[in-house]
Amino acid sequence: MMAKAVLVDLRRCIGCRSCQVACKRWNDRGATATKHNPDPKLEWTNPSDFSPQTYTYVRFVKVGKGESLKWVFAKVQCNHCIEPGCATACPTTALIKTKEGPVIYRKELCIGCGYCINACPFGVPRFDEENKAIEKCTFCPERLSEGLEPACVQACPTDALTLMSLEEARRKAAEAEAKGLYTYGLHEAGGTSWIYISETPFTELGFPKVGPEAPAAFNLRMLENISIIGAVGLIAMGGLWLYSKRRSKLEESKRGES
Amino acid sequence: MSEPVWGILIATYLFLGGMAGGAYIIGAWSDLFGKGKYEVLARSGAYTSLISILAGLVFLILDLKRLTVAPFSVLNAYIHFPVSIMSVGTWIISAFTVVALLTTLLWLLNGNRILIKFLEILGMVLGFSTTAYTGILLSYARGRPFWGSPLLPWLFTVSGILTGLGLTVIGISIIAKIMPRLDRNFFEFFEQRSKVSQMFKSIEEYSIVPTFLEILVVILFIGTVWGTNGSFALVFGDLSAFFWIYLVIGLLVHLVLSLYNYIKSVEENTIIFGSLVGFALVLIGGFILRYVILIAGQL
Ligand code: SF4
Repeated sequence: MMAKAVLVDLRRCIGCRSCQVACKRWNDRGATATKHNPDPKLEWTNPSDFSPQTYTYVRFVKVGKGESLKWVFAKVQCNHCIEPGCATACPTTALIKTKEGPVIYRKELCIGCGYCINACPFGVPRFDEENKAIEKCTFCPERLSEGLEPACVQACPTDALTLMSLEEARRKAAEAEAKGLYTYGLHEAGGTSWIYISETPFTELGFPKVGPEAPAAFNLRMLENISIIGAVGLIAMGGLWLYSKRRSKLEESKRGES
Repeated sequence: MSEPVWGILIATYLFLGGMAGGAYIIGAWSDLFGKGKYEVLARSGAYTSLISILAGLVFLILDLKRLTVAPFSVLNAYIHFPVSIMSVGTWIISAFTVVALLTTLLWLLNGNRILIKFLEILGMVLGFSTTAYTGILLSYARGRPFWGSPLLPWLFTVSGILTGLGLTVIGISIIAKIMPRLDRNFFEFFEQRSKVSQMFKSIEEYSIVPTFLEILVVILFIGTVWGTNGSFALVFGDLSAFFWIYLVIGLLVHLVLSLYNYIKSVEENTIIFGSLVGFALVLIGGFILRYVILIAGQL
């Protein structure tokens, strides 16, 4: 199977939350008491965050003020990075990227270190204390292999979510960008398999700002900077040491003279 | 952002692991370059680093959230080498623990000196890697911008060296006073008060450089990640009390005590007592540093 992707066109989303419900049904996620979102811009968002029972939710964002106020609805879930930060960080390969697109979790390998939670640039994975497992959107690999769309994609009545090949999704997003629209996932973290198109900048929708480097490149740059700082520090300290040695020698010889 | 996943257990592990690396480096260094003057320090460095790394590993393993359901899964952490930095760290720390164990055994059995020196060179590299790794692990975590500074590994390394120095000094006194039978060298050394005070005094002198350096690095580190939630929490938010305690008792008190001993000629017992207190505070400071940085990054 070719690498699959989902194009999320926020201009088409009407905020009906069908995807949210479909995900719960298909993945057998229970209902949980939700908390009111304290951010007034987001107060209609419910649930207001990911949880072991919530793989996806629709952000209801108020953009602008007064007359120009408008709603933007943005479904969020694991973005299934092309090179995932979580899978790179995972010491056990419990999280891996499959060539079909989904980033899958293999509980039997997991040690529960929690590093993926800190490493995901999008703040997605959650740890389920009850089942002792990482929980996040799966991209429904069991449906993809049957030729079906993910549950949320199938439920969407407006085609705001469309399943296609990664190539096509990237091409469409690039075209949208050329037309002056905003994208998310085309460049972020080296690119993801869920790619967004929007009329509103993603910073206004509260999406985290993530640089274009894939994790390996990010880590390498970090390591380079760490080494440069080390080298500079060593040279500076060596210089200081030589200087102090010379000074004490000079002082000694002066004392000898007088 | 995700809720915090790492708490006091991981903070303790980062602290003990970094300190173990530092203590080993101090011990090995003083044996390799000390011209035989610092043998107790060398022995103490080996013993205390072993204890510290083993204790650290206990805290680390206790934090694994699948320990209760799959106790042997912990071995899986070796698998994703060298892609996952945590896997790399697992190999490094395992190798370091083995080398610290062998060094300790050889010292206790008064084994072959050449072999000890060989282990010390190897262990210094691994000890340094262990200490730096505790910082690199955090700096690679892209979901936590507050940790994303190349200065963080250096902050932990400098702190690892300073706390390691403190641990070896405290180790000498504890072994001499509480378990003299472990190694007679310590007991005999500790009987000669003038020698002890001389050594402690010169160690304090040496520690002035890393103390200054740590103050510098911690300020630069915060500068590089200024603007993140964590940076505000640390400097004037919820964690600021801890942070200032760290700066004052972990660094400044020790610095003042060391400078005082350096400038004034103080009585022998006062030097010994003063440096022990100073170094105990350094250890507490080192722990607080790990804790505040770990928590601040997850806010
Ligand atoms: S969005 Fe996060 S959890 Fe999903 S693949 Fe990327 S790093 Fe992993």
